[in-house]
Amino acid sequence: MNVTRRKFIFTVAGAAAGGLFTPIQWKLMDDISIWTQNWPWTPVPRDGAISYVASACQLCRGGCGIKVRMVDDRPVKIEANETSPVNQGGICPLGVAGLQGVYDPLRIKNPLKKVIDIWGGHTWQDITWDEAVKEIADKLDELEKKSMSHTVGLFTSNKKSLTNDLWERLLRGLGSPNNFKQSDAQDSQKIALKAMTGHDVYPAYDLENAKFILSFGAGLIEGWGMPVRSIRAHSKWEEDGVRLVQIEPRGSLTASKADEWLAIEPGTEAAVALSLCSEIVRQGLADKVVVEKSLGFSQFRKELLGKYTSEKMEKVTGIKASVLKKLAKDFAKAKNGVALSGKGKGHFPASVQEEMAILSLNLLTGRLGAKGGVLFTANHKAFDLPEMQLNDAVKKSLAISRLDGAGADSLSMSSQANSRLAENILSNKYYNLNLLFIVKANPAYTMPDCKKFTKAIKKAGMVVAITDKMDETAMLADIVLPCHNYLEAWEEVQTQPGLSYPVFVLGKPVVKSVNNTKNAGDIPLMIAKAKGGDIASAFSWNSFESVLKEAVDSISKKGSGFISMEQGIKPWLTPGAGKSVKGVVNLWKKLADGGVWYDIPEYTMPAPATMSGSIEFISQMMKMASVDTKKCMPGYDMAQLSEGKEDFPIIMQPYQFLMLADNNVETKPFMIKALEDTVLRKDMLVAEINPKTASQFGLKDGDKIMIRSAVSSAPAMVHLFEATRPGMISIPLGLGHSVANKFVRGKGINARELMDIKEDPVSGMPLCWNTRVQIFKI
Amino acid sequence: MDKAHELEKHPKYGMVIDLDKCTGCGACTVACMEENNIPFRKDETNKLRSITWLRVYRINNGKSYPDTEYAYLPRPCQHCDSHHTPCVSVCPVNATDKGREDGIISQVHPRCIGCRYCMAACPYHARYFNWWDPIWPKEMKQMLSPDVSVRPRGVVEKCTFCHHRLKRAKAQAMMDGREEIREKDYQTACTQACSAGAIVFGDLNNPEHMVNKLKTSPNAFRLLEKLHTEPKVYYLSTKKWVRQQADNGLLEAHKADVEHA
Repeated sequence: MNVTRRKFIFTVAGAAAGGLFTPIQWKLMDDISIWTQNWPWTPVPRDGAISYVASACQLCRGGCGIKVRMVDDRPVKIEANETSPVNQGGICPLGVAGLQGVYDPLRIKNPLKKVIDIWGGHTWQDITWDEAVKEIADKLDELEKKSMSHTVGLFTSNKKSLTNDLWERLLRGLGSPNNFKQSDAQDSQKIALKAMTGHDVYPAYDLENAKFILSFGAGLIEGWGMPVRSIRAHSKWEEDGVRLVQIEPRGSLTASKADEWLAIEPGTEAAVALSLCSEIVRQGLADKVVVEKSLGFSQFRKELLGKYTSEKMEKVTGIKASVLKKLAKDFAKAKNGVALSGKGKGHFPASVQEEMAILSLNLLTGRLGAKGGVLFTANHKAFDLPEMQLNDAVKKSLAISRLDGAGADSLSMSSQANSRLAENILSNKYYNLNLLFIVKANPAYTMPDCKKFTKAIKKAGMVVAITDKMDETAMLADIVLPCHNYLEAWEEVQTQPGLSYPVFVLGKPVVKSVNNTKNAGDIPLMIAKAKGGDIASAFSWNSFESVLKEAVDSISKKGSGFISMEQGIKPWLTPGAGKSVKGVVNLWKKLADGGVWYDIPEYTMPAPATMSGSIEFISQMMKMASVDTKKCMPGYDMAQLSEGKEDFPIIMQPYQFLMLADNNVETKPFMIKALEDTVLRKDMLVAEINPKTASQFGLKDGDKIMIRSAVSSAPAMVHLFEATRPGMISIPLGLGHSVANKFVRGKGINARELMDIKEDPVSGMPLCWNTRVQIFKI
Repeated sequence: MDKAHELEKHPKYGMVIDLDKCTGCGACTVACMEENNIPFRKDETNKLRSITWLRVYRINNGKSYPDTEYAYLPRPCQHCDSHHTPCVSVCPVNATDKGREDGIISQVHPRCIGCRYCMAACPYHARYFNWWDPIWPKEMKQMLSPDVSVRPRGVVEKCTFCHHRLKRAKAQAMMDGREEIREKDYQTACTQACSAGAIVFGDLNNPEHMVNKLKTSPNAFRLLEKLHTEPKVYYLSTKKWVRQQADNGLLEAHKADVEHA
């Protein structure tokens, strides 16, 4: 064929023109773009019918009502239940991300038994529930025969719940006094309230009605108290122009939002409180009734006007006397003011003397039982389990003193003495724990100086962990019993410490348990049945659900309170806006449908129940417990933080916020993702240091340092942050998990490992908010 | 304006965020992730590559201790309302567009070719590129919502004002025989989750919606207003240093200059 130039040009032009008209290349391009977006590993979520199921969040003590969005039988999203007066449609990041806990790859599928292999390592062997329960019952029998039932221990979360009540009942029925919980700020507040008013209850705070907030380091919008409730109260304060004064060394977010921030020397909260008391008394602004009718006021007054004057405290606290004077006057004259304690989220106890000093502020200004003040929550328990018949052997066993020494001798004021627990176990002071139940708690992570506590757990004979997923504590156990996740179980939310009005929320199963798990409240029933005898008859319920039904019945029978079935119910404002319980035919059904039972706050100051029958500034109860007289009254321990200054020049303080969960429930992958890079960089925890301090130590932003305390050391990265007090280092709490899913594990350090515990002499609780450390560059 | 005319006007969805109330808790961010099937990786600390449709920034007043103050600023897509929306005007494949009936800046993932021109154009860093395949642990795939499709590697994504919720609200309104979408019918996931009540969402054009009133507050401002992107996200703060950070104080300096002249 002869190819002429003309033919060639025609062919090329024809091909070009044809190419434009044929759809092939467009089709190919379209297909490629579709192909490249349809990789088989890109999941396509299954569609289905949408519904909402109401339940209750159990991830902290916040008591929020939730509703879960379902697609067929699959929960896909957690949202807030607007009918709950506590959270009023609000929810925290942990509450939303809670769903990732249900689907956590580390959920336990079957009861597990630890088998030690020949190399000294261990493997987990699946066992049946019957085998697991039998093994525990056999151990209990063995201990009973040896008259060693008192060596059974129990460690639970410090949430008020029927599940914990049942476990405690089991322990009591077996004859052991050793039920342990991790104490927090509210426990130390409770002891202070008991010492000064004689009422053994948690103080509650009427935040919603308060008009002047004096916060001693309370991270009011960073997870303090019931986190969502506190945040909602804060928004109301913003709207109403309520004055918020924050007293703490670190410029926390609460301090930034406050109308005034008193940047005090670390550990001088009590000194500030006492200087304010001193000014209130000196200026003649103290409540007349309290002044005239209380025991030991004259001596307290002498101390205040001698030792704790605002001039003297200026040197201690770093706050000008004139500022303290004005603040004292403003606070005393304000309507509905309240002084709040509990640093950060309130997870750490303070010294009882410090709590007494802050309570004195409320007392001297007449805030107890007043609107917007401190209320008494004595009657808020939903339901008491019926009394048990105890035989003589059990009674004798119960009379043996506790391992931590709480409730006896000088510690007779407190029910827990966490600071001695690990030490007493490790030093074999009294006896070893032969069997230890750890129920939905993770003390190997959450206890201050947790490395030491881990050693203590290892020393216990047989450790049984009840948990829904593997964690640091479960790894130490000999038997792991998997319980339902909160979205799989019937579980209630009761009035938690600090809430000014009673509530009862019913959490119901949202998703069917996929694993071979049980309700954590059913397990004590199973153990009691397997053990047989007296204890079995004390646990005659068929299941936890029937215990729960009895509790709801008892609320219904009392007939008090209301049911909130609609949005916007505010018990502190419009009492009785909900339906009265009397009219509610089936309370259980209403609660299961997402209704919330509540009652109104009680604005009364009950008569003091102290030995003297009046308010006591020098606690007779503490005196009886042979506490040094000087420590029986509100006070400030000057020597507290000066020890070890040469070796450990820096003061470490943890800081907490809602994106990091630092209790027995761990942070979820979504939350780790949302952390700022001023908290975590790669796998390094970022510690905040003031630029001045950093330059003293020759450090710049991004430097790697070692933080060393008297008990441990850990690496961190430096972040220069102006809001951190010079001479201090702030560490986020809630990182450093060694056992967790891969999104959470091995990130940063757990600041609790570094905490150097000082014991509060009155309560035996560990004081560890401030720890002296040394830092050096690595 | 008469009532009939008012109704004819299309809604313009927007947001007002009160930074005084915002506690930086981040429930909005997490709610957004759960609502919109946002993937997560083992290491998310490189914030330039970490997909957060709504990112909460920490801002401070730059003063030294003890005068330091800081605040949090949640930043969703600003849904710019100008005729010259930065991302829409640069997209070569019409993968992003301004909704004519709602003003929402959409993102059509199957159309996106991943050129990231929009990311360069967006002055708010509101857009994110999928650098990796979205991989969930086997168990966690169960919690993916069918309302929002999972985006593959290689496309850009961003906040959509939970557009699927608007579609659902419209369908519901149709079934109920209603003309309008009421304020409570359409709320974004972040708004719903905000405990502080800091985020308020609604139709900026509708005088009955809260946002309509809030945006006229003397404390209201928008980010980088001088660019005239006309964001539909407003912020409120009584603190001057917070307002100044919206554009590094440029607008205020400009106003002062004008007054001075």
